Amino acid sequence: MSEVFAVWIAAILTLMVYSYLLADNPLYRLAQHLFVGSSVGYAVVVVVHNVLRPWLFAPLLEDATANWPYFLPLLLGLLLLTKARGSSAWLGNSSLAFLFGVGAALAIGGALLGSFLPQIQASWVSVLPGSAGGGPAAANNILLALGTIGTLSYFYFTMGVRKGPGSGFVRVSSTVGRWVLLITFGAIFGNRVMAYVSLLIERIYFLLGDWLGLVG
Amino acid sequence: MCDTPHPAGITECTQCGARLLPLGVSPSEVPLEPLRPAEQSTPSREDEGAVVEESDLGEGEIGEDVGVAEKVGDGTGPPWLRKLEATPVGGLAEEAAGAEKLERGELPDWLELPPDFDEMLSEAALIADEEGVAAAQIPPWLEALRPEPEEGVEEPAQAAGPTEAAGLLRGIRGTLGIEPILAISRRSVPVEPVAPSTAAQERAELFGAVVREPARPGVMIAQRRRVETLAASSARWMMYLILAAAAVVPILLGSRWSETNMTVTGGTTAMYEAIEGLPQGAVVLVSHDYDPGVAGEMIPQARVVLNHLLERGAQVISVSLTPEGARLSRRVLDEVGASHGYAEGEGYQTLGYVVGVEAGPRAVVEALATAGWSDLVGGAEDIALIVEFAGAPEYLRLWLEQVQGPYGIPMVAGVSATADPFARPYYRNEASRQLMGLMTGLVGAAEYELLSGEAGPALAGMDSQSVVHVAIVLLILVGNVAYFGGRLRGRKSG
Repeated sequence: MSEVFAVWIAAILTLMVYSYLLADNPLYRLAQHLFVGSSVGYAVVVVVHNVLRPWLFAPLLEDATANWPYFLPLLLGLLLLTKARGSSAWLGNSSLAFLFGVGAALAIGGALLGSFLPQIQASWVSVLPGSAGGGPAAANNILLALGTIGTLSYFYFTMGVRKGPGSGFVRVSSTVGRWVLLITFGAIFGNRVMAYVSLLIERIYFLLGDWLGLVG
Repeated sequence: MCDTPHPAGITECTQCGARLLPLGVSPSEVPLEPLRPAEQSTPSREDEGAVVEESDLGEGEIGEDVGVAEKVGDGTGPPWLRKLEATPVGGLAEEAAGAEKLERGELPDWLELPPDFDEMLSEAALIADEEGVAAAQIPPWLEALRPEPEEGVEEPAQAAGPTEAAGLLRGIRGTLGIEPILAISRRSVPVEPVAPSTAAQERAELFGAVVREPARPGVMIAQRRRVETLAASSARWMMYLILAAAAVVPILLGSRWSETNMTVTGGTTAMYEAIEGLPQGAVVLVSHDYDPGVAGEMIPQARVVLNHLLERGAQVISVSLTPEGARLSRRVLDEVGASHGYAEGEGYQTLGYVVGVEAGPRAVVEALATAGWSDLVGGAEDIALIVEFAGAPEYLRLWLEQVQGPYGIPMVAGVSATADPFARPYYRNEASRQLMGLMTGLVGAAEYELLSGEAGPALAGMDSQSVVHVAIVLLILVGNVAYFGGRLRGRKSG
């Protein structure tokens, strides 16, 4: 019974969202507000039950003397709440400094090891058919090299503006880079359209199958 | 006031002659005594100094004034002054006091100027000229008060130009003449002809055409706008209907064309093979990092991959970097686990939500080994594979940068179509093999279903997806043809 009720609620909310195709209307707004409100409420409950209770409150309630280091994150978290008032907001600076410091250190280290160096290594490819593994692979590598150099040139704003050594090369390669960027944006847009079509099909399946029972 | 102290009972200062009041009495409470003539005529030395020093005045200033007063008083002044003195002013005042009430606007007789006043003034002026009366001189103390001229600011020049001879401005020099501006004709100066650019000429012609267009009544314009709005709205609704029909009809017909005609991409094949190559009982960490917005793509991916993992006998540990992902994945895990006869804790384990920042994925791997979070692993090296379902590229990057790179754990990913362009460079990195396999969107899920031989909702939706894509391409073509055709027609008619 509860499953049927949930399906009806979901179907009505889906139709309320699609009513935006007619025009902006109160039903669409209601569905939007319900989505935002329930998402935030659910996130708060999950944080309390999955993070705060098992990882902070439980160790402190179990043995506060032995688990005294847990008071430090508790204190930093409470200090963050002082950001709500302008007069006491400075008390939360240390918590933010800790968050940003740790986050930045991890992000820089991770980006170097996980993205920057491996991607430089990946773009160091052979353009000769013999060492690249055949003609198509070599052509692919040439395209990769041209695209990489062109895109980097496009963002090299200080060269190519005035006449000088290499300015012509930078101008040409930046033009290539511009086209590479345009093709990339087109691919991103196409993928996004494909994603939205997939979501539409999933909703149609839900409405025709789970709600109306027309599809098995 | 000289501030000289006096004993009580003294009512007048012995030094300056000022009245003295007892303490506690305000001056307003004491009636003023009339001044004595002696006090009027003989001011004290302090008063003289407080008012004007004689030396401050111009030469003969006081002497002349006093002399004039004496002359007026004793009748030895100049004739014009004696004539004025003879005018019976006092008599006029007495007459005014006793006069009858006057009408509005009527002046009393005593206020009327004497009939020979003008004559008296002209005589006085003549006499003053004859006697050579000197112009008034400004005393030095008054001259000292004159403001200093500021540097760089020029004194206004004396008004130039002729004196006005008539009208209200008669006698004033340097008035602004308007006649030269309005009445005097000016000579025209030849100007070099300017050749307008082609674009400017086109705009000018367009402007001319718009101006020459005959005015239409407002009703016609409103009618045309209504028709245009209706046409645009109809076109939009036609597109909606075409897309809806393209999506719904294949589903209602139960079309299965894609099952036999679909080709599987390399990324999905590599992902399938990576899971297929896992040994029995291998520990696999699966992260569900998506939200309801992309659940339509990600849930079919997660369902088919989890099914394959449990089929291979893998031990699945599930986490999520998003709160909603934890709930959505729990439902899929329970469904798939139940289909293989597993309950939670037997073939799979759910660890729930982990905060999705840089420290999150790293903390998961470290906590798995140290905090007894799961009995399946004793360290990062025990994890055979990481399967990442990323609705957004940020989550994929977190796992790659914080876990795959530092710990070197093999990793495959299923991403939404939106995240694919950002994920593909990691899969194409043949030097580091950062991603061993990559599947994208609902298409990737359908490919995986095809490979695993289990047709599911993803494969069933592929026909709709294909038809909708064809419809979109056709609509784009029709729109472009209509647009360029309209431009061509406009050029020909223009």
